[in-house]
Amino acid sequence: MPQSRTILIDPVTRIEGHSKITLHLDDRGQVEEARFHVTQFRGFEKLCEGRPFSEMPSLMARICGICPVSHLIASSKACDALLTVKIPPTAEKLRRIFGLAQVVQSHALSLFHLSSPDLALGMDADPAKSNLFGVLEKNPGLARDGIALRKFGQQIIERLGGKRIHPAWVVPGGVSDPLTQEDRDRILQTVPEALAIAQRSMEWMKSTIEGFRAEIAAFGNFPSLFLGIVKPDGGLTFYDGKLRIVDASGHVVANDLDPGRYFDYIGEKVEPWSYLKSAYYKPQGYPNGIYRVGPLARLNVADRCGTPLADQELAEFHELQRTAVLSSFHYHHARLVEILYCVERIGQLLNDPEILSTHVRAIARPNALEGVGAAEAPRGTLFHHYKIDEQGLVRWANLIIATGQNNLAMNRSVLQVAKHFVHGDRLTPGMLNRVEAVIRTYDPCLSCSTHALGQMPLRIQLFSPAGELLDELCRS
Amino acid sequence: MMPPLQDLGGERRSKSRVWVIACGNPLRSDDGLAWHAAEQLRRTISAEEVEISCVHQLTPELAESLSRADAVIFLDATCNDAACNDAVGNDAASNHQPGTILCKPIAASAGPVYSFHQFGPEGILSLCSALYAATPLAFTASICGESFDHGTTLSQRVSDALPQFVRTVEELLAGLITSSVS
Repeated sequence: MPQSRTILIDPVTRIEGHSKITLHLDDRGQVEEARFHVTQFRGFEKLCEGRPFSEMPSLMARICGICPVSHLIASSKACDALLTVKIPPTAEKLRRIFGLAQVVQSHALSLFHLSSPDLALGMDADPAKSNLFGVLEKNPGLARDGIALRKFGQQIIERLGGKRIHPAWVVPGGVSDPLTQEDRDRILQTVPEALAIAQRSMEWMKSTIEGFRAEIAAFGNFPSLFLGIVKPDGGLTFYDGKLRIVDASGHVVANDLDPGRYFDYIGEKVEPWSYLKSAYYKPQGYPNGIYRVGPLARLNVADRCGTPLADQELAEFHELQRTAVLSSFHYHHARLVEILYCVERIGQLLNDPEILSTHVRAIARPNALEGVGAAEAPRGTLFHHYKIDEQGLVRWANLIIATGQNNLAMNRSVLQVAKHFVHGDRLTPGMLNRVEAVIRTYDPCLSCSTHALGQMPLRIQLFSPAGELLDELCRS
Repeated sequence: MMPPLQDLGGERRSKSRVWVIACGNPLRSDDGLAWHAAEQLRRTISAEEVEISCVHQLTPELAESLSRADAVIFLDATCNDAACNDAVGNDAASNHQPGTILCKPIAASAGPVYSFHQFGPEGILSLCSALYAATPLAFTASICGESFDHGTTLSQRVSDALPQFVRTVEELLAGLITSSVS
């Protein structure tokens, strides 16, 4: 009888939060079931109860150190709904720039710092070298570009919000301070270099992914729905618009859905083996209503980007498949298209003559007892939904985070990769890395989505049909 | 309660020659001691050659900015827990009592990289050297902390050690400015 054993792999894996994976084998030794367990819990929905609604943006920004801006924006939009105010146009544009900068820095982190070792060094590379220093040895220009691109986004956030992590500049009714001409000019000076890096990285990506045909075929390559916010003209947006859902063939299943009524079409299912809820499209039930959000989904639902360079790249991206682009491996490519769009769009918005207006906040008292704010965070569509009492105290909150919406797809992707790459009752580091790598394509943020603090030790367990633990790999 | 601290993050606003990077979490008691020290240094250091920044953690982006400095001093807290120090790459404080001040020169070293969250000063220097072919003179200055619980105030022993710590950094800075001017 096989003995259970533990193999330690050092260093730690490259995603955000705590999780483990279990692989269940049938009696022929083939993978039958796989589960991605999220084992951390935070509970922001509960701890904000009783707090004044005006504190919510700052509190919610604390959910995540990587994408605080996205929570700040969605939360402030929910508060705008409580105030029932229309925020000043300049405030909206400044929020857009803030959100776009967030997407650039977060995507750069995901692609260059976390996933580039897989792409530049290969899936079977020595785990001890699968990090930024390994990439640096192999391709120093790539490492330099990644750092510069992330810095570009971080500096914009710092200039606008006063600090890079947990800025509190976005407030109910607008933003707290206008943009100064000096800061506008300083940011604009950095746009050309960021654009050049994004274009250079795109060429690297296109040439690199050619070497990953097996992974493209087996990394989350299955039919599902895709959900994202689009502009009225079907264009890509990160700030405001209506929800659109397309199916695997690329056909629009639902359009013009009001994000404020998300609860009519998005359900959440709790499974006993994970703290991460699984979202699904209600009309198709659970789990058939599986859908994906984030860069891949956004590019699948969008007709255009609306900026010249990104539009060219989007057209090329849509050529990858006649249907919707299904393989989750292409999340990486999609991230670069979005980075390109964000940098171009930041330049456009900063050149808007209205951007230096000092009218950036609308003041009001609460005029509604319930409000929903939705925006596109780097990892996908983000909903904040609050109910307050007459004193303006939060009585109920619901957060639907991108990683939760991708939970069903991540589980199915792990199963697909495991079936393809894991055979027998023993695991190899290359198998482990592929299972991890498919999760990394989604860039999950478990701190965001479970409302824990710390590193992300990934544990993969292999079970026999009788439930016996056959093997275990742990990165701790 | 100390006055609000300004987080200048990783962006250097001028071409100062010596960069003081205070690292830590000001909401976790002694872990934020470097921020307290930075606040005091901002009041006493007027030399144009010196820039002081506060960061929560050392991230790769700092390497690019660091490449333009002549010297850097990393301010941080250490703890007297061997496992904790191993995790963050500290090696000297395990046998020290809270309030002990340590100051030493460091050199670039890639070391083990666990995640982008866990770059130590030597790792950032290594990135700086490898990517930008620059290696500023570098030092770490730290106080061994006692309490890392939630809170914005320092433990008594760290609070007592802070004035001497600031003087130590000031003396180091004075020497660095003199040597860089000459």
